[in-house]
This record gives sequence, structure tokens and C-alpha cells, in this order.
Amino acid sequence: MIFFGASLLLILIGLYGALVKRNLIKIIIGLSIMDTGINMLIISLGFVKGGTAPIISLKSLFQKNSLLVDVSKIVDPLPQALVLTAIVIGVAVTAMALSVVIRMYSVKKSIEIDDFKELKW
Amino acid sequence: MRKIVAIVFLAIIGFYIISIFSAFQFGDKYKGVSEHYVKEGIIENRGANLVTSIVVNYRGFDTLGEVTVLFLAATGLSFLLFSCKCEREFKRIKSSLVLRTATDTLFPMILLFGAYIFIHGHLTPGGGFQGGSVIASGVMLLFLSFRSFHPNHKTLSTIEVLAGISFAGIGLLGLVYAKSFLANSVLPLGQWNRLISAGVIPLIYIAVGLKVGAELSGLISDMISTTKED
Amino acid sequence: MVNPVVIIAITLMAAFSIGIFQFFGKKFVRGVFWLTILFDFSAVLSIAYGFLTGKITKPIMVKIGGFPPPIGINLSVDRFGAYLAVVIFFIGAMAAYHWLNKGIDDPEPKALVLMLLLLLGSTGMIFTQDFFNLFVFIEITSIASYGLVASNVDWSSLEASFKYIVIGSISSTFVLLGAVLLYKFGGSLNMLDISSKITPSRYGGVLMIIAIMFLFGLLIELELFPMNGWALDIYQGANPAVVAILAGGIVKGFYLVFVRSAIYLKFPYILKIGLIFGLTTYLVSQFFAWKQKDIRRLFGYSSVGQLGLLVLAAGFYVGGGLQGIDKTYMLLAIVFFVLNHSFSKSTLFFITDLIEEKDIEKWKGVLKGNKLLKTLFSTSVLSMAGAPPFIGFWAKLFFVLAIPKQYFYVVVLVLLGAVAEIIYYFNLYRITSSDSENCFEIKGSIVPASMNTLVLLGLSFLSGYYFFLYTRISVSTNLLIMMGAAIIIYIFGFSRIFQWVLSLGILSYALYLFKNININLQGFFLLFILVGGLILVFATYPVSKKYSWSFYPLLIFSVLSMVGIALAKEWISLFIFWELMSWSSYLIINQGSKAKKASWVYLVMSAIGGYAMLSGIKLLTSGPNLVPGFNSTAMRYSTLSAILIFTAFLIKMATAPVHIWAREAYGESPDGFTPILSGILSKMGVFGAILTVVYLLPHTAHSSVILYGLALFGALTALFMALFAAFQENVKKVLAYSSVSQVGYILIGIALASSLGYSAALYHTVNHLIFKGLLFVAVAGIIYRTGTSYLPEMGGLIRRMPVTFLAFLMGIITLAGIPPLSGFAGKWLLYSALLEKKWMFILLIAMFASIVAFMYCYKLLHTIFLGQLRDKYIKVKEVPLPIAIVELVLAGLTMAVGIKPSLILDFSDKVVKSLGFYGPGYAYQGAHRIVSKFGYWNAYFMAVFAIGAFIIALVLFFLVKAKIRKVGQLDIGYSGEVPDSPESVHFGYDLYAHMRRAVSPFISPIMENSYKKVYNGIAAFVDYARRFYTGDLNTYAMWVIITLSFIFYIFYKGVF
Repeated sequence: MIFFGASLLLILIGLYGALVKRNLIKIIIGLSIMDTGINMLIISLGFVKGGTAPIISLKSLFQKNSLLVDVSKIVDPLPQALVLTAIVIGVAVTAMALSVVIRMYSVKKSIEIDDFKELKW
Repeated sequence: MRKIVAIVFLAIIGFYIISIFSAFQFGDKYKGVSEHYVKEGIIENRGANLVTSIVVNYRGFDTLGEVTVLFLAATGLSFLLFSCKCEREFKRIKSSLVLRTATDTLFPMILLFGAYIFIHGHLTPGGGFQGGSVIASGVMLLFLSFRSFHPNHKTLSTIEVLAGISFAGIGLLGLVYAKSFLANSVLPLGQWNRLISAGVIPLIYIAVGLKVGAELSGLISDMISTTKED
Repeated sequence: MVNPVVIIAITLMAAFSIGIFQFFGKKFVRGVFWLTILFDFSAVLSIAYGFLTGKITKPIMVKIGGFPPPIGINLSVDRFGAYLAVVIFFIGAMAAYHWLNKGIDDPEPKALVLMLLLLLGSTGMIFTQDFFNLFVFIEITSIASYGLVASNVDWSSLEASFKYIVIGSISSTFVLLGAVLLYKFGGSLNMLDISSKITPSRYGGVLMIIAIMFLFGLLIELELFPMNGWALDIYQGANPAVVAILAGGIVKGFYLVFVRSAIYLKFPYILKIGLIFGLTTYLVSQFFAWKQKDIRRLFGYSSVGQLGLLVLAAGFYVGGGLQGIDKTYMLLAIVFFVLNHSFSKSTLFFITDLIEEKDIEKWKGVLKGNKLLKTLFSTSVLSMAGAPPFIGFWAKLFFVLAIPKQYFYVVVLVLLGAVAEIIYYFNLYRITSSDSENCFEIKGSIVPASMNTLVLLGLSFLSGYYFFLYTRISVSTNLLIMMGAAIIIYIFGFSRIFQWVLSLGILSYALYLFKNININLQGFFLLFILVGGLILVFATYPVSKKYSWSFYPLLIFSVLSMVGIALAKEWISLFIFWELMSWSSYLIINQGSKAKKASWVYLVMSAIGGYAMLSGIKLLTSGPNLVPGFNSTAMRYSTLSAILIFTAFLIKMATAPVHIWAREAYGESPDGFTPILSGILSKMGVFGAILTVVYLLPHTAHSSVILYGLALFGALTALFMALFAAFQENVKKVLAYSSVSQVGYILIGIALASSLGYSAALYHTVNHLIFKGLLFVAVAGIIYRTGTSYLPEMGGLIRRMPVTFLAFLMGIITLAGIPPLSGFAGKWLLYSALLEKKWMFILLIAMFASIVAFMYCYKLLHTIFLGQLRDKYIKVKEVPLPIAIVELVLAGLTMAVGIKPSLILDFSDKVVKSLGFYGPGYAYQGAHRIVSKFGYWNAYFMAVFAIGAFIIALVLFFLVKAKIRKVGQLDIGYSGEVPDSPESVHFGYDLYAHMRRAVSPFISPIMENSYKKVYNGIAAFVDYARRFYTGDLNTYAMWVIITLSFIFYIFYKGVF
């Protein structure tokens, strides 16, 4: 439960950054925190009490085409796979955001939101 | 003011979202498709690492998308940064002797380690993305230590392109020979827990590893090239 | 048919391989790019074609990795996915062509890669059947758009891109959260699988929150108010080529995904989302756009509004409880809305890039000269604004018909928004079509915009076909063929004289076709339109040279659409042709050089009327009968419905409270068109009013009140407009008010609803065509020769234009209702009818109005023809031959009818009988003596008498003539000063100045000013209110969060 709460807290903290911070880089940091929160949430959704990693490489676990281990003792592998994708996507978004900020900085020599309110109404 | 409003509304959202976690017991058993993955995963794919089986085979389409996203980020980044005719302000600082010496020894080992990770992706924890990142971290180290280091862009993009095409190409092969895109049975599945096993999974992971390594290196190099040369 | 996954794989491989091809040069890259696009497009086209022809009936399922659905990911291409993919790839290709033609900034291969992946992402998003895979494709799409949006040279595009990144990340966060929690909830990620585990009864608590999170993420991408500031900024700041893809294709992908997810999740509140957010978005953006100065942002508001409408439609489609044909209608409405918006809006964005001007005011005169550009721009704008026969119109019609009747307020609000949309779109059109010295160069290729428009036209044709197919409304094929001929004239242009002959030919052919028509109400008006149209179009040739090449086609269109109104067998087809008539006449009026504002007012008023009629028709529908015939009754809302339908007709007749458009529109419209506008077009209001009184009013509880009100409106119109006419100084404006005033009499006749009343109304309808056509045609000739329509500049023209004078004199006599000409009979019938009904107050006003009418009658005759001739016009010639012929024909007609009123009355008798009356309410005694309850009148005797009197007066005049001494106009001098302005010496200037003081409170434009005040008030309010979009990223994000908490609150707690 604490994992759920903590990851939700991370998401909300990240959102708070996007809502309140006036510095573009800080907003990106907020987004990254949000990503991390989600990733943590996904992983903790897949956790099983007393489970092992979903890697079956010991002879004792698998023989003659049948699984010897109790299925409920292996953590859910799907969220782990999903989180891999989610992480990469988070990286990609962060990279895009940073490159836009680099360009924005080179135009206005500023990374404050107040300098980027040209488009409005 | 803004802060208070933000906190209030985030609290409302948090309140509603947290209410759903009461329905999911932490550490609870799972049901549905994952059960199938765990039970039948090895039999269907002969990959010891179930996560890899899922990533590359059951949900290989996601991974193709994931590779695309990374590729997209690299492309978009260089598109944005190179269409900019802005002046470059920051200088790269000269690195210390310690760093340079360490790099000399560590770099090949990092490369090797990365390659190991993605080649053994179907057996051990790890895989293409992890291995690729490790390789890119090695390249990063090179950038940090040698001021005038420039990776050969042509080589990088050639690796990237070939790896990318072979991923999609393997998928298409599946369509041709096994009637479905990204089918694993194009190659014989082999013995469980062997290096050469699990059908096309290792091949795809090698392609992904190379592609991610090349792409992340390119990404780093693009970002660094916005700084001033001396 | 191609396996859908191949499309994705090939596109990906091409995108990857561009990394190598870029070393071989740009041409190589472009080659790869175009080959890929071509492949993709033809692949999706083949799938869509399969669906269209029925070869493929079930969605195509593709298993990836060979695993059955819940285990592996699978794609599912259904009908709409395939169609949408075609649209996306088409618009993508056009946008890419446009962009390449304008020149992409340096790393061009990268831009092409981004473009390919953007298209790929949206296609995958549409095709995939897996929630997490959907998230991946959404991210591909988003990241590609982040990069492309930032690509413009202008730095504001970076700002837009950054806003998009932040809001997009928040959006995808919720999508991802929703997806993984759905996995936790249902044990799989497959949409169908999860859908099978959800039952509406499980909605509550957990599932509700999860579904809201997932759908909310998509809703952000759908740019709903209040969280759409970022989208508007993108429309404003980003490269128009990119915006064209985003608005035209990608957003539609998100829309499809949203609708599909809502269906899979069995989300119960989808209609509420539509009603709360969709409708608000639609209305708010249509109003916020009014005062927008930046053209791209204006189109952005419009796009956002359309999306809101789409969400609303989806709400009704998914959760509105629609069944059977209603559901089909709604589906067709959605499809048409999507297609309309995709093609029109992307064309408009291309055009903004071709002109490269952002400020709307600088678009002044853009459309002058360039026929192709004008066509493209007008087509798109017309279609966006929902003008028939374009696809936007059919979409709106289907939408309105499909909404359940208990949501009538939605119909009203949507139509209100549509009026607002017309207001700003045609404000823009007014600016672009006005004259200006600005020279515009088209920067870039016009090919993409043209291709888009071609597709749009094809789709408009198809959608119209589908409309008639599904509603089973029959429409005369001949009519459509003739309208097609008008379009051909438009396309090929031809020379002016040829166009003229062709138009006359088409109208004669129409007359030939309907020559045996049964004379009932419809037949009467049909002949009236065609004969009148033929005569009046004949006169247009000399003056038509001043106007654009589209003059004749539009003229034909408007006349034929009136024929369509007369032929209509149920309310909907009447509405369709009604709108066609309004729009085509708007486009003609707009061609007058000073008529831009006037035509705008005309259009807005017409739109209000037309949409009022539509909502009235909506009230008439009942149960499964979505196409109400004339006989159908609205049980509960009959009064409201009758009033709404009446509004349209009253506006077209320009009666008292809604007359504000008339003066300027009549006064400034092309001289060749004014006779038709006054003589025929305004009579369509008469036609409709009779229809309403005959068919709808008997079912209402308050029919007598409504009728008396109408009569009062008519009488006041007759009086006040006659008064206004007397104080105008522009000859066409005098006649304009005169027309409206005469229509007032007709309205009184209709409101009487007695046989005499109808006879009077019908007689006067024809009569008014004769004399007002005559007067307007003569005026057109005079303006053609003198070049002015300003009364004080005229005078003494009797010497130069004797024929015209004679004809004009007869017209004026008829107008004044003096025997022996045809005007008298109309008044006699009307007064008899009023006496019969004992509406003495109305009678009093009507009689007083005809006295007032003498003021302007005299003024016209006097000021134009009598008095001194100005030196300028010493050499002016008689009016051109076609005009003179028409003058004489009409003068002959009025004479003939005056002597033998039965020429018209025979027809009107038949109509009155067909309306269910015994007879016309009067009787003949002998050939010429007409008797009613209140007396008799012998037209023949009266004619002989009056002509005798005229001859005696003429002889007297010639006897006295010798004593007259003539002086030149400027042949006067006070104290050595020579007057030079025409007003100072023109006796006709402000002829009734002495009366002005007496009546000044009555002739001040109170109504006009109050309309203006209302408009300005709303405009000022929305101008202020749109500051809601502060441009501040944090605020935008804040609104997203606030909206989410609002949604959680209302749906979780079940507030609604």
C-alpha cells in the first residue's frame, strides 16, 4: 500500500511542478518525476508477496516442458515489460522537451515562462 | 495563490485516485494474461527471462513502437537543434588525467558489458534497451574525457538504420514464413536456457541493443554539439 | 488488400532507412518518402475500398506474433478506421507536398522522417486493439508532432511546442495510468477482452475512476474547453502545413480512439461529457472567434469548436439512446463532420500559408482577381459554415435530425453556435472579398489546396446523395441537372453574353418542363418564379459586366433554388432549398462593390431565419418520422414551432422588427439582381408564410393571436417602411423600403387567412413583381447610364430617356394603386378583405400607409426625370436595349392586367380553391365587373375613363407648354457665388425636409441601432472573455487539473 501511496505522491509532486514552477527546466523535471511515479506504480502493481523474479533459469524450476515452481510465487512479468516501454518513452519526451528548451533559450536567452506568453487570446 | 489552488486540486485528484487502491491489494495475486505468460511462456518461447519473452514476443509490437519512439526522439532532437542557427555559448571543459586514463581502460569493457547484456537478454535480467544504454554510457564517457571526441555520424546512423530495418524485417519475415508479423517460429526455438534459443528473440534484442546504443550515442553527441568548439 | 501490419512495418523501415539515404542526397530521401506515402495511401485505400464496396464486411483482425488476442497484441481495422486512415494519409501527403514546395529548413530528411512517423503513429493508434499499444502509438504521434510543431522559423512555434509537450505529457500520463490500472482491473490489455469483463452495473467506484482517467487523457487531446489553450496556441504559432495535418487528420484519430475506447469501456456518462464539455467548447469557441485578429487562431477557434461538436455528436451516438435510423443519421453526421472539417480546414490552413499574412485586416482584397484562390477559399469557408450544397450542411442537417427531441435545447444551442460561426467566418469573407489596392502574391504551390477542395466537392456531392438516400426525400432530378448546368457555367466561365444566353435557356427549359403544372399554391409560385425570373434575367445583360464571373451561375442557382422551394413536398426539402437560396443570393449581393457589410447583415439575418426554421421543423418531427411533411403536426410545441418557422419567412420578407437588412442589401446589391431580390426572392417569404398559415396554424391553440400579430406586423411594416422610403436619397434604397412596405400589404392579406385575403395577397405578389421589377430594372438602366444612384445627382432625365420615363411613370402609378393600372385591384381586394374581417385598426394603418406611399412615389418620379437636366448628363443615352425591352414588356403587363385583372385573378382563384375555400370571395358580373360584399368595380370602364382623363390632361399640358421657360441647373447665382454641389441647387434634395421634423421620432433607426447594440455588446463581451486564454503554461495546466477534479466530482458522486 505504501508503494501505491508513494508513487501517487510522486505523480502529484510532478504535476505540482508543472502547475506551479515558472522555470522551463523545472517543469521538465516535474514531468520526469511524474514519469517516475507512474513507473513505480506500474511495478508495484505487479508485485506478488514472496514472489521471485520472472526469470526461470534454474534447472530446478523447469524440466520436461513443465513449470515446477508455484505460479503464484513469480511476480507479474507484464508490468515489468510495460515499464520498460514507459521508461523509454519518458526519456524520449524529456529529450524532446530539452531540445525545445535549448532552442527557446537561444532565442530569448531566458528559460522563464513569463518570457514565453506571446501566443494568447 | 497559484500554489494553494494547485495543492487543493491535486489533493482532490489524489483523493479520488487513492480510493481505487483499496480495491487492489498490494502484493496480490494476478490473473488474466500474465498467468498465461508465466505458465506457458517458456514452453511457447523457450526464453528463460519471461519479461524478455513478453517484451520481444508477446508484446513485440510495443517494443517496435518503443524503438520508434526513441528513434523519433533522436531524429526530432537533431531536427530541432540543427535547424537552429543559434550561436553556441558553452565550452567543453578539459578533463582530468584520471578520467582519461580510466576511460581508456573502461571503455572497451563497457562496450563488452553492454553487448553481453543485450545478447543474453533472453536468459538473464537485461536486454536490448539496457545493453544499449550501457553502450551509450560508454560513449558518454568518451565525450567527457576527450574534448575533441566526435563519433562518426555516418557509422552511427548506418548501425542504427541496419538494426532498425532488421527488427522490422524480422517481423516481416515472420509474416512471410509464419503467417503473422513478428512470429517467433521463423527460427527453431531450440533448448531452454541456452544462448542460442528462443527463436528470433535474441536477434531482435541484438538489433534493439545496437540501435539503442547508436541512437543514444547520437543523442548525446547532438546535445553536446550545441556547445562551442574551441 | 494489404495486411494492415505491413503498412506499419514498411513505413517504419522507410523511416529508419532514411538515415542512410540522406547521405545520397535530398532527392533520394524525397523519393523514399513519396514512395512510402504512395504505398501507404494505396494500401489503406484498398482496404477502405473493400469496406465501401462491401467486399470486406467484418473488421480485419491481425494477430501479431501469432498469439490469439488477449495474449498478444492485435490490430483491428474496421470501416471507420480504414476511412480515417485514408483521410489522414491524403492530408498528410498534401501537407508534405505543400511544405516541401515552400521549402523545409535544413535537416529536411529529419523533417520527412518526423512526418512519416506522425502518419504512422496516428494510423497505428487507429488500428490497434490494445490499450497499452494505444499509449505507445499516442506517444509516437505526440512526439512527432512536438518536433514538427516546433519546426517553424518563427520562435513562437517553440513556445507552442513546449506548451504542447507539457500538456501532452500530462495527457499521456493519464492515458498510461488508465491503461495499466485497466490491466490490473481486467487482467489483460486487450480492448475487447476488457470490454467483455465490464458490465455497466460494475460502474461505480474503482472502474469509474480508472475509465475517467483513461478517457480524460484522450479528452485533453481533443482540445475541449477549458483545457484547450495549448491547442489554440499551436494553431496560431506552428507551421500551417503541420497544423493542417494535426487539425485535419491526427485529431480525428484521437477522436476515433476516444469514441472507440468509450464504447469498449461502456462508459455510462459519455453523453454527459458531450453535453457538458462538447457543447460548451463548441459555443465558447464560436463566440471567442468573433474578435480574433490572427487568422490562424481564428481557424483554430473554429477547429476547436468543430471538435466540441464532434464530441457532442459522439455523446449522442454512444450514449444518447439512439436507435435505428436516428443512430444511422448521427453516424452519418459524425462522418460528414469529420470529412468536412478535415478537408476544409486543411485547405484554409494551406491558404494562410500561401498568403503569409497573419493579421486579418491585411487580408483585405486577397480574393480579388485570383479566381482559383477565390474558389478554394470560398468553398472551404462555405462548407465550414454549413452552406448547402456542401458537406458541412448535410452534416449539420443529419445532426439536427438525429438529436432526440427531448434535447431540443441542444438543437437550439448548436444552431446558435452555427449563427455565431457564420458571423465570424463571413466577417472574414467580407474582408477578403472587399476591394483593395493590396497586391498579393501566392507564395507556394496551390496544388494541395486545390486537391483538397476537389475531394471536398466530390464528398459534398456524395454526402448530398446519401442524405436524399437515407431520408427518402425525393427531389426533382431535372432541377438538379439544371443546377449542375449552372455549375458548369461557373467552371468554364465562357463569355458574358454566352452565359446570359445559357441562363435564359436554362430558365426557358425549366418553364417548358413545368408548363403543365397544376395550379395550386406551389404551381402558382413556380410559374411566378420562372416567368418573372425569365423576364428579369433578360434585363441583366447590360449591367452584368460590372460583376464577377460567378454572377450568372449564382443567379441561376438562386432562381432554381426558389423553384426547388416551390416544388418541395416536405419541410426539410423546403429548408434545403431555402438555405440554397439564401446563400446563393448572399454571394450575389456580396458582389456589389459597397455591399460587403450589407450582404453580411443579410446573411446573418438569413441564417438566423433559416436556423429558426430548422429548429421549428425539428419540433415537428415525431417518433420515427424524422422528415415532417407539410401536414404533420407538433402536438405539444405547435405554437412555438409555427413561430420559429414564421421567423424565417418574416426575415426574408423583411417585415417590421427584422427589416434591418433590407435597405442596405437592396440598395447595394448588383443592379441586375435587385429586381429579382425584390420581385421574386422576397416573395418566397410570402409563399412560406401562406404555407405556414395554411398547414401549421390550424393546429395551434393561439392561431388567432398569431394571425392578428402578423397582420399588425404587416400594417406597421407597410406604414413605417413607406415613411422611411420618403426620406432616402438613394434611388435603390427608396425602392428598397418601398418593396418592404408593399410586402407588408401582402402579409396583411395572408394574415387575414380568408379567401379574399389570399386573393389579395397572391394578386399583389404578382403585381408587385410587375411594377417593382419594372422600377428596379429601369433604375438599373439609369444607373448604368449615369453611373450614380444618388437622387440629387439626377433630374431632367425625361429628355434623354423618354421610354424609360414612360415605363417608370406607369410603374409609379401602379405602385400608388391608382387606376387604370394593375395596382388598384390589389388594394381594392385587400381593403375589402379587411372590411370583411372587420380589422378596422389594421385597415386604418394600411390606408394611411398608402397615403404615405404617395410621398416617395412622387419623389422618385419627380427627382429622377423632371426638373433640370445636369450638364454632366447632356449626352446620356436611353437605357440599353434589353432593359428597355423588359421595361416595355412589364409596362404592357401592368396595363393589360389593369384593364383585365382576371389575367392574374384566374390563377389566384385556382390557388384559393386548392387551399380549401369555396371561391375567391368575390364574383364577376359580366366580363369586367367584379363584385364583393362591399361594392363593385369595373376595371374596363375605369381604364377607359382614366385614359380619357390622361389624354385631356396631356392636351392641356401641351397647350400651356409654350409659357414655360427653361434654365440650366447651375444657371443661377446668388451674390456672385456660383453653387457647385448638386445638393445646394437640387430641388429634389431632401424633398420632405419640412416634414422631417414632424415625423423625426418615427424615422429614426431605432431597431437598427438596437440590433447593433446587441451585436456590439456581445462582441465586446467575447472580446474580453477570450482573455481566458492567458497564454500562460501553468494556467493551462491548472485548467487541466481543475477539469479533472470537476469530472471526478460530478461523475463519481453522481451529481448529474
